[in-house]
Amino acid sequence: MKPALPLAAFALLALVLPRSLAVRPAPLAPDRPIPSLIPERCGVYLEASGLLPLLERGLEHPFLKGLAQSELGARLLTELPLSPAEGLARAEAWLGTPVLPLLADLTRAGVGLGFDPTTKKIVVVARGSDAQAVERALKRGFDALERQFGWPGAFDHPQRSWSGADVWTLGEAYVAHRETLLVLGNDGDLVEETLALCADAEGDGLLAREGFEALRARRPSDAALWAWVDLAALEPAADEGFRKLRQANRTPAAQGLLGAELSALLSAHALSATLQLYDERGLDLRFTAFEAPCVPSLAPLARASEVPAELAGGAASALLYRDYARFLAQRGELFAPEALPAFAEAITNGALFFEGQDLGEEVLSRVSPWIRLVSRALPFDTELKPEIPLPGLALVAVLGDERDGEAWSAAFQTIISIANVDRAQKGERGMRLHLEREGSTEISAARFAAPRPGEGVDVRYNLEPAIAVVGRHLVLGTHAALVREVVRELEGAAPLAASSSRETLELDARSWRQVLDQNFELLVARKMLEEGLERAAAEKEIEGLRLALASFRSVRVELEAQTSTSPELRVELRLAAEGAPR
Amino acid sequence: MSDELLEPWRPTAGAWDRAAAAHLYRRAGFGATPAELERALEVGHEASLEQLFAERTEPALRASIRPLLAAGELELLQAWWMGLILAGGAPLHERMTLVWHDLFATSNDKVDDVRLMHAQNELFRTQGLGDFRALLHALARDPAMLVWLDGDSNRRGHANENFAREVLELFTLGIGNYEERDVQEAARAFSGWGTEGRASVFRAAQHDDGEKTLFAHAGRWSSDDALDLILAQPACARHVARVLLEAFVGSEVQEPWIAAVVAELVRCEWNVERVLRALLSSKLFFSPAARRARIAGPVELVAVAARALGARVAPRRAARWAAEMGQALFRPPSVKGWDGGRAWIHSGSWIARHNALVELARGGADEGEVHVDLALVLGAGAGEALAAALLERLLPDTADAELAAALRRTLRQPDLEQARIAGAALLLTTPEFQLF
Repeated sequence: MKPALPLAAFALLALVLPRSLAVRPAPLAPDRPIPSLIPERCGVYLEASGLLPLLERGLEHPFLKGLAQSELGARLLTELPLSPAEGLARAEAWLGTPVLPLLADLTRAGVGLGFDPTTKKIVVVARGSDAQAVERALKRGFDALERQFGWPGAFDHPQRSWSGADVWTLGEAYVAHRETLLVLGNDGDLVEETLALCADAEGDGLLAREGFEALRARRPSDAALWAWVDLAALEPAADEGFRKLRQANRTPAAQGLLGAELSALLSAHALSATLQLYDERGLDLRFTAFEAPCVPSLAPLARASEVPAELAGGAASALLYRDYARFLAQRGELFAPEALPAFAEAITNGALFFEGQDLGEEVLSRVSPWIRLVSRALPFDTELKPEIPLPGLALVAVLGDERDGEAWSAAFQTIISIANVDRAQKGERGMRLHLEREGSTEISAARFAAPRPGEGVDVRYNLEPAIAVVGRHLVLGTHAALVREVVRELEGAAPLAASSSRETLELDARSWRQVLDQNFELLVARKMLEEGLERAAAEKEIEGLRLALASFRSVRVELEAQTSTSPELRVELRLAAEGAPR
Repeated sequence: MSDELLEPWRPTAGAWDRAAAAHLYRRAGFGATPAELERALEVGHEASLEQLFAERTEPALRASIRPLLAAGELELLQAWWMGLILAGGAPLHERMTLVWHDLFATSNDKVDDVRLMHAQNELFRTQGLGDFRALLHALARDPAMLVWLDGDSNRRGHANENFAREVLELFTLGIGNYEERDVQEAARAFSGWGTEGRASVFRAAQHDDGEKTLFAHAGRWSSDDALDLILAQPACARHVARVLLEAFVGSEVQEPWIAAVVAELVRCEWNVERVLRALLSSKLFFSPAARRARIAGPVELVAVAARALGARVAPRRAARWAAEMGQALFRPPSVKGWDGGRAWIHSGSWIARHNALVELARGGADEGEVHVDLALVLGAGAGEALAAALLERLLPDTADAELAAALRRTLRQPDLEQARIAGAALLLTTPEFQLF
């Protein structure tokens, strides 16, 4: 006998067996949720009950059809040894029955997986709706195994009975069956504990864990997969990197870049993830935190403020809440002492750039914390098109007073001048400052001197920084051309009220694919040198990324907080529709 | 007597063995893969030498740096050159490129422009085996060199002597073979040469066209004239001969060796390839005094060890290893280049060597950047067979009984793959392996 078989194979099996003589517990209540059947010691839980529509519709499920029709899906299919349809046909021949309906019978009333981070063992609990159907399915599986390995009668009798369930063992694998219930696992103690829990009408299992029910209650009814992780429980056995990540909300870099809510997500006591598959060929991934130590004063809507006017999209666009004024004011409470010297330096430099004003109290406090970012491909001049062209990035914020714009423009010119002094000391040519107009708006911009013929146009020519003030909108961009575009869009627009704003990020996959196409050679060469890949292998990897981008139309990330300690991050991925322009 | 030193080596039966072939490949290239060594033994030493001179670098590999130059990242340029070395497509060209990079040491720390550093590197690669005089003239107009040694600030009436001093002291003659006045006068001759953007430019208005006296010759010498006068000094050929001997024969250079190579330089009209053909096929090169007579520099150590094990190492990783050991390509510590020899070895660099070589033997621990199939290289044998295979691959010319005994003790472990790794690591980290 082989010492072990994959649990997945066991999941397909089934058989009917002579009944154990043990006393059977009361039947399982039909409305008992699956997590109540998973032992409380499991710190990770994955529920796949929502996959039933996929099992029932199989390859005809719209999401799978859309994926298969995408460029990425088509490529993946060509690389599989068997097509999904062939694979299912072979499984059917092996089992003697269609495999997806059999799995549907086994899981019709739910299926969940628990993982104990201490022992690193798993248990799977599946519940069918019809005891006979489950029994038939199990027998099919056991029969197939007996045929495959030449073990006639090997599964005729269970090896033991735990809490009224028949139990078979094969190497480290355990299969237990009782009524509509099927339990699989790779640890006897965990399986036995699970069966005892199933037999205990009062057992709560994972529902007893702090915050579990609160998070599960927020799960959408049509979730295909739902996962829950007790991050605090994972911490003792985790590596240093994970522990540092958990402390992210105490670091200025994480707070500054990720914001209060997202950095709190990583430090949450527990986190849930929900996957929804949509008929319109997209998917939604949602992360929800429980007891996330979000800093309320840095979270959205902590102070009354306005949002920059809407802008057309681009390669990427985002609306973020970053209250850098409070960031500076509360630095002593928020961050570790070793981070404070860098703040002192920033405040000193700020005073230099802003004519002696205090960066936090007199400059940033007069800017709304809502920031709009937009990234777009740039129409470079032919002679000045960088050999590595990158999209430009513009930032738009709202000033408390239109007149504050002058101080920002002056600061911009001061920064460029100081940078030029530094470059001159190194014998390098500086940036040329100039003023231009777009409508009634004055734009301050700086650019590097054009390279001489034959010198090449380096990546730095992606940078032509510019600043403009349109009404109370402050526009700061990496390239004057983009700032001009944004200024045109903002002419006459007023800031918006912030009553229901959420932090969002939207990426346009087609634009990023164009960026990747433009820099394909660069990325391939880089992979060859950094990873030691042959050219063909490097090309294949970049091509895979390209196909992935070609397969998705857009990605939208949204942050929302119902309470300050339970932020939710929603990632919405849309597949590229068939025939849509790529 | 010096004439005999460069007489062609005529190996007696059995003299062209694995140790002799490994010696040739270590010195004239960056070691050999197991397959290359087998082939060398088959075809003989003359055909092997011919192979080493052949340029067969895959064009795509050489061109792979082009799209990356615009990024301006030195680490990518370092990785690219290391990739050319590891690929072994033009071993002698790359070896000479490294020799000239060390002699005409120019650092990106000051130049701060990878395009200029790449252009200088290509100059060494394309002209490094040609006429030394032409190379020196080209170097004097190389934009990276002009930035590195302050060509732009060498102007009429305000001479900057940096380039003139290093040309005389480090590049051509050596201390004691010129006077301070020669430095001053040569600087005047070099004045006017500077850079404009990434190109070298001669600004006639800034050139001192007055009369200069250089090595007792008076005239209105230009930059080219000054270089020709320098090249005509007997000390120049001696200096170049010493550089070649230290690189290819051994660090303890003897007077008769210099005399022999100087004569060859003159006879070959400064053609480096012709001189090297004579040197690398000579009795001197294959003599016992020349073997295992140099402490391996980091770049050659990494490359030779990787190639000996038939390992695939990501170029960036290999370049980082060399940098950790004290040889960051394109970043020599000063205009004197790397001190080399015993200076390669100190406590910090020894630990870096040990760590890198052990990681190489293990086939890398992360991200698949290092891959080695020891079973393929060493065969399926264990015990004595494994010990013999390891010694043959890594130290074919050692007869150290204590080392062999230590190796056998190391190999006494139940897991064959672990034994292979431990044995390879032991030999790679021995002082014997690191003497080239």
